Amino acid sequence: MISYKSRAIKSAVAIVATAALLTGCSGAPQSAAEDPAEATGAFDWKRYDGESIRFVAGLQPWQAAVEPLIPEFEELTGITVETEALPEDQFRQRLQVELTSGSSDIDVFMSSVQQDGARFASAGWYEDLTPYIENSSLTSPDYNFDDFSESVLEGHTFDDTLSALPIQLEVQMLFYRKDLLEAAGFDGPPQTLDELEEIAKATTNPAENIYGWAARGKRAAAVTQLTSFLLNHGAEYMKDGEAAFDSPEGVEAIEQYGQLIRDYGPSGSTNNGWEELLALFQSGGLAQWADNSGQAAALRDPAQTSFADQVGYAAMPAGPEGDAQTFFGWAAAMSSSSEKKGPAWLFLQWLTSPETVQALQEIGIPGGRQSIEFGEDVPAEFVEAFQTALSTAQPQLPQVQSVPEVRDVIGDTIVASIQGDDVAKAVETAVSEFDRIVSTESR
Amino acid sequence: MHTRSTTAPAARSSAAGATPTTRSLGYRLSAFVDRHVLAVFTTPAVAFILLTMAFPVVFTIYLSLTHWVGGLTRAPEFVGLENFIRLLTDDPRFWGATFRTLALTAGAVAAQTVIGVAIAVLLHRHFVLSGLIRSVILLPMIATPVAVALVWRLMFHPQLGVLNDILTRMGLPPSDWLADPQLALFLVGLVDTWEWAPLIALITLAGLTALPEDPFEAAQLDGANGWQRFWHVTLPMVRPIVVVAVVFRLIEALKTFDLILVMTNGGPGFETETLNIYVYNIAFQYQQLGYAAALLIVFFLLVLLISSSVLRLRRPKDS
Repeated sequence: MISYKSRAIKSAVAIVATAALLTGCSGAPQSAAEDPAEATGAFDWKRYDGESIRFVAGLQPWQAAVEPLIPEFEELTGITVETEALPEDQFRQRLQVELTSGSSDIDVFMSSVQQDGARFASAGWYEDLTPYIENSSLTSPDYNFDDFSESVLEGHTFDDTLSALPIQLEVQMLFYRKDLLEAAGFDGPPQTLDELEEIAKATTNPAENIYGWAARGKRAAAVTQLTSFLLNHGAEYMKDGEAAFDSPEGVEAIEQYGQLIRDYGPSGSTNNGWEELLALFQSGGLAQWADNSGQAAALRDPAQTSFADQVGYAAMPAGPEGDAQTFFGWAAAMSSSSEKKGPAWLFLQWLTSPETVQALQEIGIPGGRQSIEFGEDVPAEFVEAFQTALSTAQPQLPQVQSVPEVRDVIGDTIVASIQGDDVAKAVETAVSEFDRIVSTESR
Repeated sequence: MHTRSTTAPAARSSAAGATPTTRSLGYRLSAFVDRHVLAVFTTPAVAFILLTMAFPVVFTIYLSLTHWVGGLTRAPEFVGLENFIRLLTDDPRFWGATFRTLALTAGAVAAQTVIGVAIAVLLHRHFVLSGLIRSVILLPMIATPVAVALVWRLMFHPQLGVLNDILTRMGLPPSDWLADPQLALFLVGLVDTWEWAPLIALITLAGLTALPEDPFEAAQLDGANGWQRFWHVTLPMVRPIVVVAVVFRLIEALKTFDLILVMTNGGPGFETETLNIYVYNIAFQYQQLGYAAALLIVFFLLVLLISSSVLRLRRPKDS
């Protein structure tokens, strides 16, 4: 009996092992595909006629503006682009799950290099773009790569590898309602955070559902908006590789960020990201709102914002210790697991080509090419605020690998501050977590 | 069964052994199948289970001993028990999440059990429209959890939600609902109860229907009132089936994920971050697959511990 059982198990194991071996063999890599980086001959947009690629994007002003243009690319190249655009949270989740699984389904994707760059690069998810740019068979002579400013490209380079190309540059900006400020007796946007509070106080009217001030309060989302407060109080996230926002100035900055929202912001602010705040601003519920400049596209559009002509734009007001500005950027990248790298590069090239960037900047979405100007319809106020801010802007996120994790940790102090909890204590916990995270990532 | 299938082919093969030259391939194959009938028929099932269940479990245990960042494009690095040590000694978020998981599960399932059994007892009687009401009461359970979560999130919205609208119309101060740290976890439990109390009602109702009538009649003759009949007759008799329903719900509630992810995504702060949400963040937001595997193993042990101790309740007290 026992021997029979063990025999049965033996044969079962043998069969399973054979099956596993067979599956293993059939899954062996096939290196038949041509390496696009070694393509030769004259440049031709039609080189990959008939191919199709998948493009995964987050719902962003840039994506909304570029999607209607994609048929032009399809006509130019004969390549079919299957675009998948998801709200930001879902987009990030989807992208990470697919890239983690090593799937070859994604060819081109949007990527926020401040948020993901170091981590994605260290995981090997970005394709090195330099060989494509340098190959004149694959890159149009009109591409004018040198037009991208060096400092911007530096932010897209990890371990000396150009991993992505900028598509949407944003600075933190103050959006305000001219009519509401005027009614309260102010003739222009605040120049300092103290003035900002004065205006917020004067314009807040809960009975009318109008709030004088709003900024993001959702844990991780809020962190990019806190940065200018921190810098303008003379604090910073990191110094010499260690967390430094527990300085008195840092605690003060986080306290002020939360206090302004608590005193003058809408209720339930700890669940507000930019999506919620944009809707609230557009419904007429906010007098002042700070967020990234990409929101301006929706605020300027009378079809989306009924009082578009009353929206004012300004660079972030100065704090007690300075007038720092901050920026955030979206980029497009090619997946290193893509099996259609040639067509993917043509698409990426088209997305960042002078023509496409021109078309988008025309309607107010700046793409990081130096030679290109904003269109005439873009309000001069916006252009001025944007250029003022960009000229001195610093990154909105700490330059570490584990940005999502660190954002959650810092974000928790913002939530504590909005709720009126003990900020110093929350910051103390956050700093030790921050250091633990950063010290384990270096291996 | 065993003896027949093993001795019969043995006898036949020894008989066939006398004339080995006449064996065809087909005959040898069928003799092989006869001799190994158990192995041949169970192998597909065993292989399936090994591939789909045993392998993932073993692989998860292996992963829990590694530091693995970045998915398939990078090899895991073996670190021994480091993940478990960090988890138990240096991870406040883990303990917070564990506590919230237990609190949410205990609170929600207790409420669901009381409400569910009450609904079942009420619906057990026949009255006008009782059939219709029975169907209607099951509706929340049939809805997709993500849709349920979205609708509730909208109702709880501080500016756009219907609940604050009602409050202010009644002259009451509005609430922050899901943005209120003291309230958020409770509200998640409330929605979970709204959705799943009908499941307990459904199972209990099935149990009630199957009960014999005699004890109830005897109790009535003895002069027991409605409450006494429920407490001393109905409840003990229906208890085994209620416990099964509770175990189902406990396991489900411990791993509640979609509802929380959509309603709060763990916020405000970390106030509604349960173990499942935390593990999800660790694995897919922070990409620490090894650490996530260690968390999952601890989580699995927790589920096992709770469900097995609850199942003990199923045994009647006196035996």
